[in-house]
Amino acid sequence: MNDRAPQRPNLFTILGGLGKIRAAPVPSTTTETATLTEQTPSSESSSSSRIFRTLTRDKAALAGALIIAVFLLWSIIEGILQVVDSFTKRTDYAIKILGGNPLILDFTHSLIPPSTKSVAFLLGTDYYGHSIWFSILYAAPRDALAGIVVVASGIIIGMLLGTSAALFGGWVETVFMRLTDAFLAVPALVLAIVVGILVGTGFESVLIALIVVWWPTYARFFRGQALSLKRRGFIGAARLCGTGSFRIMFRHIVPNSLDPIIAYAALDFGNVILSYSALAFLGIGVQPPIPEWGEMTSSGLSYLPGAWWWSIFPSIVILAIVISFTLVGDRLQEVLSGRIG
Amino acid sequence: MLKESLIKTNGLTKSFLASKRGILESLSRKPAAYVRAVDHVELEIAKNEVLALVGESGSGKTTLGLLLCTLETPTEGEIFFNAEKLEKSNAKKIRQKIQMVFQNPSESLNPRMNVRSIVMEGLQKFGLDKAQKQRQFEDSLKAVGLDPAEFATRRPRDLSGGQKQRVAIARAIASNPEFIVLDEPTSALDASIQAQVLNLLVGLHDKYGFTYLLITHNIAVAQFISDRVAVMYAGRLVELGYTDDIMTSPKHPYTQALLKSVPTLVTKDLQPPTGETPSLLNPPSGCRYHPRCPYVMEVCRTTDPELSPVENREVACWLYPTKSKD
Amino acid sequence: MLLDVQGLSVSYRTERGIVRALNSVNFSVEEKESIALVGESGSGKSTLGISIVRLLPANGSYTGGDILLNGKSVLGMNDREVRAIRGRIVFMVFQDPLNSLNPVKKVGDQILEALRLKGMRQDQDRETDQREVVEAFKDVRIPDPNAILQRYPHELSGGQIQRVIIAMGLLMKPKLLIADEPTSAVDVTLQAQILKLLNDLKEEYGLSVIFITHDISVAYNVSDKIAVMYAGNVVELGPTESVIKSSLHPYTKGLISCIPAGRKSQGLLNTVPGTPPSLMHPPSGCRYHPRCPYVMEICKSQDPELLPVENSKVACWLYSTQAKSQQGM
Repeated sequence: MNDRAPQRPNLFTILGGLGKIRAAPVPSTTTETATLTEQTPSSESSSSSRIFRTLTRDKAALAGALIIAVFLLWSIIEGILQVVDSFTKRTDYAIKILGGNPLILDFTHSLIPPSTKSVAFLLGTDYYGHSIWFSILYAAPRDALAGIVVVASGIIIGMLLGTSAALFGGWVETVFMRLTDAFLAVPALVLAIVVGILVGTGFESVLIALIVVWWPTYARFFRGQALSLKRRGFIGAARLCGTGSFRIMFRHIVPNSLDPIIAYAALDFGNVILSYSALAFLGIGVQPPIPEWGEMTSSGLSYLPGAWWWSIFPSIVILAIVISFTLVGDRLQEVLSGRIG
Repeated sequence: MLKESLIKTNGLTKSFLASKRGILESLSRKPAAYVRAVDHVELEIAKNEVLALVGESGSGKTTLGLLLCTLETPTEGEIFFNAEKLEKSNAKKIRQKIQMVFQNPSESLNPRMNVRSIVMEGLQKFGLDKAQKQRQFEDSLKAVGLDPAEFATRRPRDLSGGQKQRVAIARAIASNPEFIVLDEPTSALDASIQAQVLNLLVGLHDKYGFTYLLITHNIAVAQFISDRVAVMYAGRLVELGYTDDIMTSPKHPYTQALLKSVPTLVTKDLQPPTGETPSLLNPPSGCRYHPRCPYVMEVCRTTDPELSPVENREVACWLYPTKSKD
Repeated sequence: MLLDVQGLSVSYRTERGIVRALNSVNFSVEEKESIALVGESGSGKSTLGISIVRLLPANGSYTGGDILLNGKSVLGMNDREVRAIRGRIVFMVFQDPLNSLNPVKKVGDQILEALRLKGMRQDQDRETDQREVVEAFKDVRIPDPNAILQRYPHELSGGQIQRVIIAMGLLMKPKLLIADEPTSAVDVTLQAQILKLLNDLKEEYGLSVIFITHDISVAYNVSDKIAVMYAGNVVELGPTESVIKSSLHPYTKGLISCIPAGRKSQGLLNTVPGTPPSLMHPPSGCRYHPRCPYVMEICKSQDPELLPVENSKVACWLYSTQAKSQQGM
């Protein structure tokens, strides 16, 4: 039984793999006889201490974790402010905190190269005079939210469908799994574009499109975990105790399925952001003047190589964040995968 | 018919599909390949007795154990509990009186639950209040030799193999079952711990009067703890009788070979049978043991003997007066 | 003396600390002699087996003592020399037979390849090689040996694979066969077949055998000498009959007495109270002292050496007159 779900192959997953090659090997415990279990207790440590130790050992993953922390922290602050602003409609804390406005058109400052003269020009401006630096900061919360919502939805939907499929078997399993197969058969980006077109533009539409594409992988993952857990003694014992199927699902199977799935989800976060940016690049999702990293990359393309800063900086940000998630997720997978429960 | 029989089976059979059939295969006329894990087993277990189910891998003993504790449904045949036939409608009610201790202590406890939750899981269906459940929990833990105060909040990963098995036993007895199936309860334990657990099982049996079905491949364990022994080979019951009788004078050639294969500290004369355990996908014709039997006769190759009473026990062998299944 | 293990100590580095798996172990194996290493989990018996051929995992290290094979130090050999003895002078059989063979190659091809790699049979042609392999298969009582050559490992049963491995070992014409729990995962009848086979082969091929097992009854049936191991030490070593019938060390006595051999009506089993110790923080002095019914003061502070008593050797203060007089006995 393989405990790694098929990853969406993309350049960044491959690059992320490089991190694994460089990573230090996790030391093994004693190799005494496998059959007899009279080992001294506590030969396994808890997940959290192992995660901590593995992360601190690998410098790259630590750097990645730092970048993620900064990204998420900033997204939370800016995101809350943007929500507050949209409710009161009269405040603009979100913009004030940046120190400049990424939304105003200002052709007098069009296409200024990066300079240290003013914070607004740190990364240059685009054709419309928008500060690239402020735009990147302003767009961040949306990417973070997309990551969280899509991965969480994927996990929830995947958990419900995948675990029930494995537990109940029969036609329930067949229907759910064929459904999963159907969704997986269509290339992800194509499906997302189609859904995006159907549902229309806008932030919510993109999220829906991504969720539709994302849940099947988790369904497969949860089903695999549940199938192997089904054979374990404690499930049989629970049945004999009269525990109902749903309680078995949520008390016994799901908690013990989570470790490798959480690790994969950390890695997947980066994939979601990448796909979100790709959709924005293609023009699906939030429209200008609201900045989006992917959209900025796309718009700046025709100005390469002259006004290179317009495309390059947003794409560097995407790259950095996705690689960070991949590095951290990879290390987490090493620690948590293969340990069901 | 044993006096006070708790469990009785009639032609109990369990078949598994050898492999999952795809759509194309199902549509074709090819017959599906089945594995007969348990093949027409007739068995009776008396109240309070300890019956050892002995066999090697592929004998079907684990499947029979699962059938008898209702975790598997029979393909054919019937099971009676206290003279009541087991059906879907009364399965839940009957299950309340049955418990099982599973083979691998590391896998039979939920790693995310602490000892208290694990043991108390069996108590939920009785409508007890909190204080009663707590008392039942403490009693069960003390009965298996663990201090409730010390172990209540521990997780399985903080327990040794022997302690895990004790917790599994505590879980099994907490709900006051009548019948407990124990599947290789000590196979994964060191010798010194095995002795402790076996003593515990004997003590619990004497004190609470459970009926045990002990599944094991270890003859010495079977001999020590059981009143009667049932020997299984390739899904069939081949010999059934009182432990003393069977251990001192086994009648079925497989039982004889099995006993002569067990290394002891007394003699150094191992006489294993020839050949290998048969494939359940393509079992030998007639008597399943015939390819390895030193006394094989023509009839053995063609007809499967049925379990028949011979002197003080039952044997399925053409060497003895027997009735045929066909 | 074929193999002489002198004061061998081995440790493993783990996340949680250093595991002292072997604690100054002494024992030896003569030519054509079979010795069983008996112990429960954590006793160090498997570690001892793999350390003889320097197969310790990455986190293991030799922290003391030496291993002499035909008088030559194994720990002092370079990689090339070690590889030359592995599989040739010393052949290891492991517990899980299926993992010892390459699943994508036919069995016959694998054996022939192994023979060539070991620099043997270079001057023979393939047919002669094959005939030798078939003969070896017959020696290990594999039915239909010619057909087995053409099979893949997954097409064989566990018993057949174990025999194939043993046959491969025999073809190497080793001096020493180390079998690490080769029958722990197989059925009783198959185990008896393999034990009988090993006994016969020992006679026919003049092998020395180190048989590692947790089952003392198996040890009794398969060896001339028994070494009882506990928590990284050899606590008793002697001829099989002596060790079993007149055991010296309290642990050996405890181990034998807790094997079920009769009916429960004859009384409950004797047990060894307590649990095996942590190898990261082993007890001071004699590692068995917390569980020993005869514990004395000196046992808690000093580790007894393996010393001769009658025709065995035992590591226990009960057999030191000096220790006993200290206790006032």
